[in-house]
Amino acid sequence: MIRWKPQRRSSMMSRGGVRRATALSCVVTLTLTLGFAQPAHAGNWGSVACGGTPKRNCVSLANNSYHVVNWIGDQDIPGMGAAVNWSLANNYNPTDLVAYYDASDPYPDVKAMDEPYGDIHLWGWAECPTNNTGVGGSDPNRWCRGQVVRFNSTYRDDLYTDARRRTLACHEIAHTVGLRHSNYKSSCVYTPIESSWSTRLTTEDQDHINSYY
Amino acid sequence: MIRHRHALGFVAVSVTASLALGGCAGGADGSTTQHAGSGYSVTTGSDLDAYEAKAAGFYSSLALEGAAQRRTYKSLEEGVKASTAVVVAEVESVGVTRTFQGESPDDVVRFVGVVIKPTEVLAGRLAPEHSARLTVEFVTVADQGANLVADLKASLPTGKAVWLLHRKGEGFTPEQAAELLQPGETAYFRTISDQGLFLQGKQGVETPLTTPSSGHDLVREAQSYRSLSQVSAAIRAVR
Repeated sequence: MIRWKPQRRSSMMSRGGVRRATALSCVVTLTLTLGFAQPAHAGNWGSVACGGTPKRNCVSLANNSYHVVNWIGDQDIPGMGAAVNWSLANNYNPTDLVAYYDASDPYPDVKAMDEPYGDIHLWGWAECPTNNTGVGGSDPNRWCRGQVVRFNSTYRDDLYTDARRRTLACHEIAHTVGLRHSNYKSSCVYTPIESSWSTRLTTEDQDHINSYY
Repeated sequence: MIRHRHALGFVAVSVTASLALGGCAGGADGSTTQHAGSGYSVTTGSDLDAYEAKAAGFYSSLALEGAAQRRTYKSLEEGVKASTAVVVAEVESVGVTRTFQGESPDDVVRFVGVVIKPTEVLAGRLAPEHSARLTVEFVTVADQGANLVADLKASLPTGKAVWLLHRKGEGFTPEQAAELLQPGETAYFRTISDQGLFLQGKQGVETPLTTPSSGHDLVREAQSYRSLSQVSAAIRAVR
């Protein structure tokens, strides 16, 4: 069950006020660029480009502290959507982020989807797509709104427990708020995933989030 | 639920791309295979150990930071044994191979194929249709495919690299393959993981598909070799 923090809920998300969203996005951009004291991050924090042209980020920061995820399409991996919900509620919402699933949000911060992408040796990945709804800043503080998280249902048989699905959900959502791979086995962003299957963020991961948002 | 309509979601990008990647499709034969040591000459150190400054940039453009690797390998031996074949190869060309269209209009994934010419099979086997050239596919993000290909074409490496290859679809039962793989996918190869490519660096062997946060044992082992010829000798010795 998602723990709501309605007092901090942005009305623009539910009402789809695109103009207001754009205006707020500009304010946030300006604030991030000029105003916020940028905390000294180390370790597994910061946006990263995937390479190539045009530049696309595979690890991006969120544009603000409201992190809304919407699932797009059907679920091919049974329980994957529930795992995303669980991770938002148990890993991200307890931080300074207000993180939740909203099926009615037409402009979510993250669109999650699963499809049989094939035998590509990836369980999932995150990206800032071309049709994002806002992007700004530069690495390691590049933010993206309208990110995409993909889960590969070709390997759905690997994801046969709640713990595995929650780990993967936690891992990919982490990349949408600025967390890179971690060296700590107790972190869901630890790689290789299969040697830990941790469903949780570490205190260090949460500190990174809390010091930025 | 897996929907077979995804079979229609893959489209050939262009005839040009198909021609450019000609020879990559697998044949129906496969009764005999090209295995380590047959039909190839052993690659010499001077062939392998030449450092090419631009090569790392070419390969690292294909890396996906943040991706969740399905499996990683703890040692060189484990990686070699998991490979369909480990080859020394030169890059011949690059192109977009396929485009995946999911149920959402937003869900477009383009695959880039790097056509390589094996010059030696260090371990494992290649089917005859792949002994002269084969295509290794990589996932690209968003609609980056065409632009990425232009970048890659402008920076094709001329030297050799060591590839730990997996034939797509290998290990799937026929039932799984019919349900979970995409049409035409088994014509292509992938690296065993982001650990599956070794390149001669300035100071020693590099693994250009991995990122600094990839703390895998196979990577550390590969990077402990000073030259590709040394790591190739270690691969040949794996039984």
